[in-house]
Amino acid sequence: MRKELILGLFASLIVVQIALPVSMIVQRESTLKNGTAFRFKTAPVDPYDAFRGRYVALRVEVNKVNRPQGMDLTSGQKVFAQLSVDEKGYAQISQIATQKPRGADYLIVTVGYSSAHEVSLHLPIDRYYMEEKAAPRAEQIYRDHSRRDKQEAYVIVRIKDGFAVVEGLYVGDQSIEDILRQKN
Amino acid sequence: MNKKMVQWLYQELPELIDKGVLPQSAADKLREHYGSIKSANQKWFVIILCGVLGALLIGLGIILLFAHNWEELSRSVRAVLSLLPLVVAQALAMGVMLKRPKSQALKEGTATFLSLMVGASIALISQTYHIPSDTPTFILTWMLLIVPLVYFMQATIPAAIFVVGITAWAGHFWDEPLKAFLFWPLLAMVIPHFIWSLRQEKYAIRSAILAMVMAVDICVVAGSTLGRTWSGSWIVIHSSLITVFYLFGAWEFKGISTHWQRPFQVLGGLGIFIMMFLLTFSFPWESITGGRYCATPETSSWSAIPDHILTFLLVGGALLLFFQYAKRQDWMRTLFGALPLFALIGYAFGATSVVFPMLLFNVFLLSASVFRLMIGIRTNHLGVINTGMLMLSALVLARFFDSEINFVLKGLVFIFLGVGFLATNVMILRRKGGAA
Repeated sequence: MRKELILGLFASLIVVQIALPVSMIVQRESTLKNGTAFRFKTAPVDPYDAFRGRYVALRVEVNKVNRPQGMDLTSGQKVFAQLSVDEKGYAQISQIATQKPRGADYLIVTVGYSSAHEVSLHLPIDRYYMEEKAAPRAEQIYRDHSRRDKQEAYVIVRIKDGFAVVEGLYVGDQSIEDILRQKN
Repeated sequence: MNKKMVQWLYQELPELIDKGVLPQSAADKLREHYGSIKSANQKWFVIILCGVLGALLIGLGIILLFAHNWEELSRSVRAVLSLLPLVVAQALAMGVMLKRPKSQALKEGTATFLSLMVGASIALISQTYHIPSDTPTFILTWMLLIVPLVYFMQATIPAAIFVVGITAWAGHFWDEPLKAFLFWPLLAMVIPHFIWSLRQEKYAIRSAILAMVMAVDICVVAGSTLGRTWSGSWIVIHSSLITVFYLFGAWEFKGISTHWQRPFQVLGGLGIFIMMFLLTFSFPWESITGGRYCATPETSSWSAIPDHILTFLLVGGALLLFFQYAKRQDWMRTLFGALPLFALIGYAFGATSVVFPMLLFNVFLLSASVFRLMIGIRTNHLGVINTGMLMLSALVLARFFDSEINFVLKGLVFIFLGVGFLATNVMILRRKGGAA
């Protein structure tokens, strides 16, 4: 009896162990398939922080928003950032709210610091993984371009129900993978 | 009784019978009294070691292979591949549970492999989908998914991985003591297994590894989660912690006979000496009033209650163990175990006077090292003599180079000590002469 119980519990553990990674995959795949695509312009990243080896460290340029009047905010709090698109086609944060916005695309973000007029936000877009040799080179190209004004660097992000999945990193309308391939 | 001593006795018995020192019946009675000695099976150790090392190496190799991030493969292929090592590890573990539930080596090995693969597969998926960094959540999820293996598969290495993991997790919250405090209830999850493993002959090496990992990690986390509200309370907290290690580690457990099997005792003993030594200086006592270990608003409110409760439990536990050893009249351990008591006295006076606690600890370390030296001489135990000498020389050297005390006072104390030693020496020699 005891042996069966242990085996039964062990089997349930195995199911939980596999269910978690599977649910991670399913949620991302569903967002990539059904989510709305937004282009987020990216800003250069502090080089000391950037060389992490296997990924390009990203910083989204729109990470500040006007503080809504009378809203109590603490650092680390989750809020809903309502999204819009500017004339150049880049994503903008039109406002933040503590309630889920209706009928508009939104992203769940974390509050950084906030002053009387402005709130800084942490967006869940901070890295783009690449093959280990390619990542440092991609990082270099990305930094050169996001510094210059001519060619802009941006990420395409799929967003569904406040949840974001990075789809690709682009520099001057070319994917970072294509640029690396051409340089080879 | 120490297993080594019984072994020695059994070796001597045939000769004693031959020479007529003991009659055969007495020897038989002795054997009956002590029972057979099961030596820790060497073969077991090698088999389990190979199993665990193999599992660790293969696991790490797989992680490295995948870390390459194969771009040629499509996203969905990579997603499926990320799950593959986990599924294989689970199948192996399940197979062992069904077919070879008695094999310790296979259970330990597959449980270790599975523990690593759970983390690997989550990390690989994070990589495939560019999931933003959230290291603490990743570590905690991973650890909670593997901790049941410790009990289902009676595996100790996953318990050690778990302890290292929750320490890393707590380390992320060094500035949020309330969150980091969860380390303690998390740690409690593996304690029943640890106590169980101490009682199993075949787990000697594994429980020693787990004890070592726990001893080091507990010290690390205690530094950031305890005594955040009272400046200088680290003196009492750390004194109590290492005393608990030392006295708990010295407790008699079945089948434990060597020092390396008692990491708590060894680390605790070392810690007690270091603590005693540090407390002979002025800077720890100055930290009580110096506000170097400042309280922050967050930690001085109700949120500090768990910190206070655990601190009191820890100090209380140390004092309880101290009285237990005093009751047994184990004077050496009682003397070393008196550290928290002296730390408390020092802490009580530390705010008004730095000199008194300093003096107290100089006398304490001096008497502890002399006592150890004398016990060593009396029992003819070279290790004890040497550690006593080491403690004494550390104290003497520190005071000799101390610039804060004036030369006349220092000179007088040194001469006084020297005379004391000579007198003791003469006394011991005379007594020995008398006995001879």
